[in-house]
Amino acid sequence: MTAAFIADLRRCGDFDQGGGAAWRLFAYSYGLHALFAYRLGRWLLRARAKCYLWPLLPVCWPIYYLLSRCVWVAYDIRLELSADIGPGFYIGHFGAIRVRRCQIGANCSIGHLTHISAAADGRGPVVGDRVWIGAHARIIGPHRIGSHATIGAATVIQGDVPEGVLCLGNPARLVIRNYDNRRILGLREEVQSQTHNAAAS
Amino acid sequence: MADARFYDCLGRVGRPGAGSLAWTMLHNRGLWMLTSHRIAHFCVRRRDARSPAWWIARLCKSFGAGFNVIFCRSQLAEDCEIDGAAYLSDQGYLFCGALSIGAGSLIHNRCTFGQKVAGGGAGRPTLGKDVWIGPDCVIAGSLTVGDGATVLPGSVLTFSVPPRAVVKGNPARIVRTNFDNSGLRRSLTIVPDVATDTL
Repeated sequence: MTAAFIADLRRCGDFDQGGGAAWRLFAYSYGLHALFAYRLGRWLLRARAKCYLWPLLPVCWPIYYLLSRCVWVAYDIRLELSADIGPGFYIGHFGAIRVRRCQIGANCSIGHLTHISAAADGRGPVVGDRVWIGAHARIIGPHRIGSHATIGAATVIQGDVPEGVLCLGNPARLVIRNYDNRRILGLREEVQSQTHNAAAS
Repeated sequence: MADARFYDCLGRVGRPGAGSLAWTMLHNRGLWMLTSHRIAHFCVRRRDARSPAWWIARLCKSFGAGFNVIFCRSQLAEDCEIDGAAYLSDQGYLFCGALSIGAGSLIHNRCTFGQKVAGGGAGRPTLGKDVWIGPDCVIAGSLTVGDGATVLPGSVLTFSVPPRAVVKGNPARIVRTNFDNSGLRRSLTIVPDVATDTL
């Protein structure tokens, strides 16, 4: 949990323009608050397997529920524990974000009003590493999004997306192959290598 | 800040018999959002003249940003130039990074303008006067929406819209030119009859 959350913090810090104090950046990063609650909940799920951590659970589960409920009510971001989100996740804004029953790789970024969830049969999408998902996007159902793909704003995914492409439109159409999303992700080269080390260690 | 035209948008939200002016203001979150935006905009515009009023506004602004997020569920860029008598929906989820919004425009909920709300940068659209923008629209990029244009619900614009045109779809296309949207702007219907019937 700590390594993944530190990677999230680093991603958030990548967007620092140098204009204000660091506390201001983190105080207004609404997605980071949601991610903190989510990482805590995931850590508690794994802590159930370690019996020496059992005394913590009755204290920490209410804290988790309180935090996640606050995030839900205040920002309307719902990162449910059935989602498996990799380190270095970035949520651009707040508002009507639903992430549940899916698998998301490292260094991904999503916008506001985005739904990533399973269809009615319960099979969820699998998203690769370093994927940029724009605002208003919908990924619902058992689709596989390849690594380094870019999904534009308001795109509705209705099938598998290959690696490194740019998709736009409803239904999604492949617009550009080999699209480099490094700039819009805001990833800095050195920070990415650091997060890889953090994820590996 | 709160000019005479600001009160025009009260006329838009207040139905006849809806109650007093105070009651109307209390129940329209779009108006709260607009008020807190006007305070923040005043701070940004009058950065050089630091009167006592400026310091009070500066204090309100720092609360206003969080207030907009938690109670109005929207974010507006502080330097966005919203002319009076613009009506913003009270349903929230408006992410407005536009450069300017013209007078008399009606903007529904769940819209996104611009690629970034905070910090300025490229990709900020300009909305003209008297535009009608339906819910769930995305206008990202340095585009211009002409005066009197109508953007139907769920559109994603990839080009500048000429004045008085009607666009819809994702990606958007022009479905009609020289359309008078004054009837649409007078009501708050989300899916306009005129659009479903004839467009």
